[in-house]
Parts: sequence; structure tokens; C-alpha cells
Amino acid sequence: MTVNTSQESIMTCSSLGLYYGQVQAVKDVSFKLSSGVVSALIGPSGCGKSTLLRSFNRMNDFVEGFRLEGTIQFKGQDIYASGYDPVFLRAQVGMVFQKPNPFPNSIFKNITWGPKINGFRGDQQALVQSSLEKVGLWSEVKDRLHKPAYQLSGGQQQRLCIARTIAMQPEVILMDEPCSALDPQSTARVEELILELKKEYCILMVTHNMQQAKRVSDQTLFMYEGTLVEHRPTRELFDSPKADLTKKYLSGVFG
Amino acid sequence: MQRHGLGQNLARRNRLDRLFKAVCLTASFSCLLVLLAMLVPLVYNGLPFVDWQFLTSFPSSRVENAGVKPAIVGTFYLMAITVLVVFPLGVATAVFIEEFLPRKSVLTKLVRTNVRNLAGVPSIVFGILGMVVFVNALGFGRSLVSGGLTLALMILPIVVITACEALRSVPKSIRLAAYAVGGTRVQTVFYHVVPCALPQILTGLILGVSRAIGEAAPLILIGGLTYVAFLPENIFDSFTALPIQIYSWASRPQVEFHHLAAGAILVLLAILVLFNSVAIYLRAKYKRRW
Repeated sequence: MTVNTSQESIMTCSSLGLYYGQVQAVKDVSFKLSSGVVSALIGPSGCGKSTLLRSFNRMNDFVEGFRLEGTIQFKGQDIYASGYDPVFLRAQVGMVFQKPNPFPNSIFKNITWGPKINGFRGDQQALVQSSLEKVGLWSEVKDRLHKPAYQLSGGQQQRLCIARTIAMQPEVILMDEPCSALDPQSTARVEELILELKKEYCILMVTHNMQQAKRVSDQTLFMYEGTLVEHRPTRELFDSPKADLTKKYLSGVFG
Repeated sequence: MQRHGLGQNLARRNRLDRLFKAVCLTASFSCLLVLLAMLVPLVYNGLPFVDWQFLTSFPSSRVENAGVKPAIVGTFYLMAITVLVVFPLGVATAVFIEEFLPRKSVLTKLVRTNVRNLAGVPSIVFGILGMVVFVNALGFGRSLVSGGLTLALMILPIVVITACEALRSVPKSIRLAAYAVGGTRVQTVFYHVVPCALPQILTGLILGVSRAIGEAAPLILIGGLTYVAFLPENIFDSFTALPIQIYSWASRPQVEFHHLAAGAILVLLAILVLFNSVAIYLRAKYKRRW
């Protein structure tokens, strides 16, 4: 699949530099994300993938000493501009974490809390049902919606976290290695789900699993030591990597 | 190859193991022993006095007519005031320290050190504070409010410290989850972090209040009465409480009154157990897992 360049990009970052104190974690990175596209961020541990991902919904704000150069724009607005409210941003740019982290409440409340505090006044029951249906969890949990979420298996919890994210109807979903804590079966389930979700959302996912990047993503971004080495359609990048580093990484010389 | 011949000293090491285990066992039993040494004479001397008449009578100079009714009522009033004041104040302080102050700032360090030092201040000093501030300056007089507020201030540091630890033990992933679906800081804290920490916060509250209801010194200082022939009608009335009553009886020369004091101590212990069970029940009820 090729990038539809005519399509308007939802998120763009340009000349992005990210710092933790004196340490520069990401150097001069620029790229664009569009709706309906799954982009995978790959690269060896410590290359700055997660840092980069977390700067897109301003989760790095909670890390002391975090600093940013360059700009990230969401729908044409600079999300780090002084008047921009990060809470407003996070209501539209959802995030799924590495380890499933449902709230210690019922399945139902896990889904309704975010929309409710952000002003959702519609039918909660319908919202819960549609969100759970989208992640294929409805039939498994419809009889125990008011039971604690921690009673679910790890894979179910992660799908609940995805349901919680899409209940907000975000424009962008950020995923930080969403399958690394799951067994192969649950992983397959989540991957299917990502393919399903990309119809409606712009998805950026960090993954350690190159096969996974190959299976689910349209675009792949290869990062190395904080720089973006190569950003191309997944098929092309895996079949004929241009950069020497990408070639070595894909063939397992390092990483 | 030359081996080291390791493992030869195993018998000696095992002997040491057994010895250490015995020492620890003795240590833990000595605590129990102390408790027993305290309880046995109390029960032996005091229990015969604890009956319905004892619980429902006013104090009297005649041993057979004396009772602890006003002291029980006073203690319950004090507990209620203390809990109502210390819980919101303690939780709010802890939330401010843990969730709103920047981790490493000078102000944070100052507040933390301050709270820790306050926890070590002797109770009588809080009594003096209560007398100066609540009884005199604010004009609450020698009343239940003055007593309750003084006790609340006394246990505030314990409650704050345990609440801080409780808040810190809530996994970061839950906060991040709340922020990620568009929660503000206050929403994240009050919908998720505090409820998760609540069981542990309650533990701190139990510890604090248990200490407060056994305190005689600050109450005597702010003027809790030792002989009360009426029940307080509102929180601005003068009062007595179990520890004061116990102190007063125990300091009399007649041995019968010492037995009355033992009886009152048993009542105090019973209230303590009752209070703790309620708190433990609440703690179990609000316990969450993640």
C-alpha cells in the first residue's frame, strides 16, 4: 500500500527533538500521520520509540526534566503551544499501554468514565455495548459488565483498554507495544482488531516485533539512537530497505 | 582439579539457623507475654465491676454506685469530632504533598520534614497548643470541640504520613490510564488515586484514632473534667472522657477505685476493638485489586 499524499494528515511533527534533562532521546524527527493508516515504529531498545510516541499525547509532561524542540501539530494546531490544553488533546488522541491497565472498577465503568467526565450525555449502555463489540469482547463479557475488570484475562484486559480508548471516539490511537504482555493467541486477536480499527482511526504503534509490524502496518518508521532512519510503506521497507542500518537491523545483525 | 571441599560446615550453619529461629520466637512471645501481664490483672480486678449499672451510671464517690456513662459518651463525641476533622484534613494534605507539589522542590521537602517532625511531638505539647488556641484564643472553652480538635491535630501527622504512603503505592499505570482518556489532574486523583489508596488511608486513620482515644494528657491540659454528673448536650459543653476518668480513679488512694479504673480500661479497650473492627470492615469493603 502506498501513502495517499492527497489525504490530509492529522498529526505532523517537524524537526522534533526530545530531551530528558541533558539527555537527548529523539533527534530531528519529522513525519506525518494520516487517518486510515497504521504506522509502526520499530527499532532497538532505547532508540526513543516510546518517548516519541508519548510526546504525541503529551504523556511526557509527567516526566520531570522533559523538554521539546520543534513542533507537533494535531489538526493544524501546535499541541505544545502555551494555550493548548493537554486534557483536550488526550480526549482526541487515545493511548493503549504496554501492560493492560484497566481501572480497578467494573468493566462498565472502565469504558464510561472517560466519556462521562468529558461531557458525554448519551446512552451509556449503548456506548459500552458498541465499544465492546468493536473489540470483540461483548459476547464474552456481556453478562458481567458490572464485575471488576481485573477478573478478565490479560488479553481481554488489553482489549478492554482498547475499547476504553475508542469509546472516546478519538482521531488518533497511540499504542505502546500493545501485545508485548500478551500470549500469542491474544496477540493475534489484538492484531486483527488493529486492522479493523484502522478504517476509522489513525494508528501509531510501537512494536518490538518486526513480524507484527509487517502484518499490521501500512507504514513503518525505523528509528535508531533517536533518529528516524527510514520511513516508508511497510512492504517496501521490509523488502528493499534503503539505509544500511535498516538492512542490518532487519536481518538481525543487531537489535 | 583441586576442589574447595565446600559444604563441610553445614551442621554448624543449621545449628545457627535453629538458634536464630528460637531467638525470634522468644522475642515475639515476649510481646504476647507483656500483653497478658497487662490484661490478666485488669480482667481479674476490673471485670467484676463492669456491668450494666457501671456503664449507665455517673461517677460517684461511692464505689458501688460509680459508673462511666459520661466518659463513654465523651469519648464517642471526641472520636467523632476527631475523625470528622482529621480525615478530610489529612487526606487533603497528603494529596497536596503527593499529587500537586513538585517532587523535588524545596517547599515539598520543607512540608514533608515538617509533618515528620510533628509526628514526634509529645502529646502534652498538643495539649498546650489546644489550650492556647482552641480554649482561649478561639473561645471554644473547655469543651468537646476543643478536645476533639486538639486530638485531631495530634494525630494529623500520622494520618498524613500513612496517606502519603498510600497514595504513593497506587500504581502509576492507573494515573496514566486516567490521563489518557482525558482526565484532569483533580479528576484522576479523586476518581482513581484516592479510592485506590483508601483502604491504606483508613489503616492510618485507625492507628491515629486508636492513639487519640487513649490519650489523657492533652485532654487534662485543656480541662476535661474528672467528675461530671451530666451528659454533654452539644459539642460546646464541657466533658469527660474514659482516659481522664481512668486517670482520676487510678490516682485515688482507695484500692477499690483502682479496680474501678481497671473496669474503665476494659471498657476503653472494648471501644477500641469495636472501632477497629468497623474500620477493618470498611477497609475490606473498599479494597480494590489491580
